[in-house]
Amino acid sequence: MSAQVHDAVIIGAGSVGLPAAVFLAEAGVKTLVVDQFAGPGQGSNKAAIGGIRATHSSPAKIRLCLESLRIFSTWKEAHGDEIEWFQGGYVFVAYREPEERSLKKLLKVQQRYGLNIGWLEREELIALVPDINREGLRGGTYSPEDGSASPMMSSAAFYRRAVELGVQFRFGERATAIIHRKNGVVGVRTDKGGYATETVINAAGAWARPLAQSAGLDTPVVPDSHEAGITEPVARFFNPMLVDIRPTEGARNYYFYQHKPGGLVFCITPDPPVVGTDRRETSEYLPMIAKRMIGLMPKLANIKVRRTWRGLYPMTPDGAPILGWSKALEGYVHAEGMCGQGYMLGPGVGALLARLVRGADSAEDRQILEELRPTREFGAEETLK
Amino acid sequence: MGVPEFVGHECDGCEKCVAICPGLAITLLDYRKDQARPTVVIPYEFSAKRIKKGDTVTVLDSEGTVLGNVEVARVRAPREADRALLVRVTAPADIATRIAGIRVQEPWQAEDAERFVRSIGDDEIVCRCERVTARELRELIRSGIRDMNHLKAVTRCGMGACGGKTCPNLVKRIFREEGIPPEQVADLTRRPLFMEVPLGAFAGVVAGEAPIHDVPRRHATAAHEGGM
Repeated sequence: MSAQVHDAVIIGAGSVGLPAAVFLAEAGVKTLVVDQFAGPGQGSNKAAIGGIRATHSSPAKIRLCLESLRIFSTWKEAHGDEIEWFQGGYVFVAYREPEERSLKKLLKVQQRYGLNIGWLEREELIALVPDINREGLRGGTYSPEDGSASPMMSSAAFYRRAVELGVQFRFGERATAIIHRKNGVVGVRTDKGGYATETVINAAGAWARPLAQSAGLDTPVVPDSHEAGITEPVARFFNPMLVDIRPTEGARNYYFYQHKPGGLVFCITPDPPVVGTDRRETSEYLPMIAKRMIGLMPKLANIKVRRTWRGLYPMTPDGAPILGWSKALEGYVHAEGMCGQGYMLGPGVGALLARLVRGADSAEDRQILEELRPTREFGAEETLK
Repeated sequence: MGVPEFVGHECDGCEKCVAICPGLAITLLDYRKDQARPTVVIPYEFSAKRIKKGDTVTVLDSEGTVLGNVEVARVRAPREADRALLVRVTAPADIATRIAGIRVQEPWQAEDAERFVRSIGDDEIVCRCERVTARELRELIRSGIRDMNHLKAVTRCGMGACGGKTCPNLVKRIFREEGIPPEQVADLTRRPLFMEVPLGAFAGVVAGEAPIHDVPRRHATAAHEGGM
């Protein structure tokens, strides 16, 4: 074990760990980040497709993502790194009465939290996305302040900033256990040694659960995988992320958008879920999503697919993250179970964690932490994620 | 001649097995005349002009490691061999069983290519698809980056239309030029498709035809997916 004592050790240099390291270091907390992979963002961060929205139905996620949106949208101006932020908005389309009804119902909840989201009638939606399939189109929700950025470029930017602020990184080193005595954390053991600290943040994503178990805590996080892809870049022809929530055989929703350099990035949600940590691509999903995307936007038949990949969603039973100090083990901070939204939640979660670790959490932070507390009952499913 | 069969003690050293094996995988050791210096028959697929009785040749094991220099006792071209020669050498017993081949390349041709390859100029383009120069990559490597995926994240090197078929080896060369041992460098992840394919090809849509519309299966109730 190294003799140096770190104020905080973060497990995972990913969507959550990297921004958390930046904000902790900005607040003067001497931070070490340990990650099993060779570089930043190499777990599930790089598999994220880059969508960032505050238009959730959970108040905690809305608030966290509003902070994320502020951070992503001002990052280049504040720190100089290009992260390909693009404010194209999100559209959830409705072609059938049931989808229209459930989206409109959710709209009321979202508007109550002050989110800029409204209903577009058929003609308004066609004006916004002229290439959308008009047959049977009823309308959709539109939230213009949501957007997208490059997960890879933003993790590289968060990493660069963290290093600049003096954060230490240990890559290619896997945390194997949280060392604790008398109900308090004293350090982290890894496959290459160990580090002394009284504060450990578990931001290990899909790999968080065994680590929590090593500390005698069990967080109900089960990873499943989704597959995504990207096309060649083309001239911009629509702005928002398009989400189609109609389920079909083998899949629930799917969604795609045109990222800042012009490529279409797309992803589909398998049904039933594919549980496990296998990250190898399959050949099954591309025909499934290709058919659906072309159904929604016929001209896409001619765009060329460049690359596909698979990423992990660390799921909790209720679809919401587990966040905050452990009541059972002093010094252990849960930042687990981001449920596939780690990228968009990350900066907001990171900023909150930095306030929490310093004891500077606000009343609003405490409301978020109450909703996402590790000791909650994991019963109900969210209306719409 | 059919499939050769190994008959153990009945082997009379006819060398037909050496001649017929298309993989050049068989050598024949004969200890009958001299236990300490057996003869070894090695299949050889190069021109007869290159080797003759009385030559000294360098023999190698199956990994290409040099075992020593030995003298050629006989060269013959049997009818069973498909243009291969059978070269018989006499070798000390301690190396005879390990002999797998004869070196044909001059030693200098197998030397480290680094000596003969000039370094990549700073302004040269390493990733042609994304137009990434050697300078950009060098600066990032000098800042401490050792993961090629990290280089990819910052520069897009390897993410272009060619599917990263050209640049990874050049990036590895730049790492070497910067004095970074290969074991410290994490290779980049290769992703299919490896060549660009129209989305329609995966949907069964032929160019010019109307797309196939999918029929939703059931109503979306509690969507519990995350992501987006």
